[in-house]
Amino acid sequence: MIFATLFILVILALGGGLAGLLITGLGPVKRKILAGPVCGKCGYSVVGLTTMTCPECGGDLRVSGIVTPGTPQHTGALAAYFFFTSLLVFIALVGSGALLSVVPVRRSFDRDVQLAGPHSKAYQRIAIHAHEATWGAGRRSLPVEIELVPNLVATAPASSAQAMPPRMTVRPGAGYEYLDGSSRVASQDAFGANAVLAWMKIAGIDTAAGEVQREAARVAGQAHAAVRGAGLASSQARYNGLSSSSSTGSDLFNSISTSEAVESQVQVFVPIGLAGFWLAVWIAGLVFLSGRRRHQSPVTEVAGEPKE
Amino acid sequence: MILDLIATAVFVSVVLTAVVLVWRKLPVAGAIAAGEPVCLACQIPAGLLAADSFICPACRRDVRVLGIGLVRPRGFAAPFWRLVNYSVGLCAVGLIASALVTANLPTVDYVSALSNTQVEGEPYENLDINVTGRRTGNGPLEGELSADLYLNNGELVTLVVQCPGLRYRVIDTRGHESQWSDEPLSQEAVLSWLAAGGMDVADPQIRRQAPWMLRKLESGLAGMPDASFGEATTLQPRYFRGGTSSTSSSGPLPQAVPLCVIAWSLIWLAGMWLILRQATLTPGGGPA
Repeated sequence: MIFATLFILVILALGGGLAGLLITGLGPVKRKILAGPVCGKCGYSVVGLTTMTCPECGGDLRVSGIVTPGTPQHTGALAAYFFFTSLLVFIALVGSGALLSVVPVRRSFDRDVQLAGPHSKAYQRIAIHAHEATWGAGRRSLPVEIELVPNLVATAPASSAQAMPPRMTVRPGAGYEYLDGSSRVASQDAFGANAVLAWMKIAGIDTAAGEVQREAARVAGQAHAAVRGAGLASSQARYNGLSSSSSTGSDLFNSISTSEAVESQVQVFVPIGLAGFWLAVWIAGLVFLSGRRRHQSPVTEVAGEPKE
Repeated sequence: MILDLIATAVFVSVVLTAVVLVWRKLPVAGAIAAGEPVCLACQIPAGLLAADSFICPACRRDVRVLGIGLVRPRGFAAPFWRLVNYSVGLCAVGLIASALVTANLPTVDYVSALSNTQVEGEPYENLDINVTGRRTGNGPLEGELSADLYLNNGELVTLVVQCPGLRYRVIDTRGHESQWSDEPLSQEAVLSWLAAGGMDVADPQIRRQAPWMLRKLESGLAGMPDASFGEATTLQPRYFRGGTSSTSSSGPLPQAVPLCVIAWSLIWLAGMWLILRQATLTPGGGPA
């Protein structure tokens, strides 16, 4: 992410540098084709004037200056623009790097546990998924979603609402909820094996079987571990692009596979804001170098041809 | 996190302050550096010219021939270049100095490790040990270890150990969490954990596993949970299968980078202010 941002800044600087030369770089060149003396502020011809006041801009020519074809010309403007642009690229890289190294990052964590091949054969598998995106690092509790994938034949859905895989949501410290047909069942009670069994029953599974009860307890246990934010969720590193996976079996499931991933991301508005800021600084610098923003001073390198 | 936020706020504030400072002061500084407008033929100040005549009172030439310009037209950009060069120099110095400072500070290793052990013939079938934390230099692990014991009935009982104090708490099969202990992790802690799982800790077969489990927990607290069983003894359960995985990354002290950013930002702003202040002083010494 940082390298991508820096790359964008370099491209912007180089591209902007060329564009800027088109914007401001023509001024000193144009002066070569001056036909006569002009106001140093607005470029209006001062030939034939009787007073030191410019009729175009109203400026005092003793302050804003008079530019003539004979006025000594200052060379090296293009070199100055290039020099400034390249120095600003370096400053932008260092400055942006400094900001990106401290700006708060958004961390997203995913934990997926697949309990497949239950020995009860009452369903295909149960997936437990925890996802959270927060600022900063450290341990946190996560909301967890449990999904039951029914057997294709053995478990017929009791209603059309159950044609979708039944889902249960467990919220840290705030109970759990699931859909029973079209009605929502929510409980503030502590989540546990009994909640899983009630949910499985809704899905049409015979929960009287001993193996199913043990499996429900295992599902509840795995969900508890996920809610608690075990594993990479509590990693304290600022930047992570970590993932891990493990697979095992048990007396209850043929396969228990766990995969985790934690990602840290700088919010997209940060590099965009940085790019915009440095672009503005660069344009302001070029404008200043071109002499278009001066404080009560005459301009000897004004752009433009004399206006008649 | 807090220090990062402070550093971000300082950096942004410093940059915005500098922008305002430069916007207001740089044109003034440029005008002062460029000097006053003069007749380019004889260098007499243009202010001495009459308002209704283009003839220079000193050289008697029409100022429209050579023009009216600044004494030092190139000087207009001088303060600008001073600011740019100062910023470039400070960036270079800051990069090198910060790299040297952080290189000489102890590094922080961020550790995240998992071990999974399956056993058979015991009241439990699976033991997962998760360790996450960080270690500064060769110091102790700062973080947390959680040991999940999956019982044969599918239930889970968890032992959570804080590092480096080694205080612990047990989460029972219903998810109830005990208070953090006052004592550090010990064999008794392991037994209370097993008891929370419904195991009879008076049973010698259960009791004699406590040292083995404690050893596994201690290896986890050292940063690398041990999934191996080592030499088979009668004191340990029958190993079925298992494995470990770990990820780690290193970096400077978490405080180092934000403090560097704060320090260099303030130094940069102070330098900018000094340059502009000096550049906006009139030859008489007063501010422009």
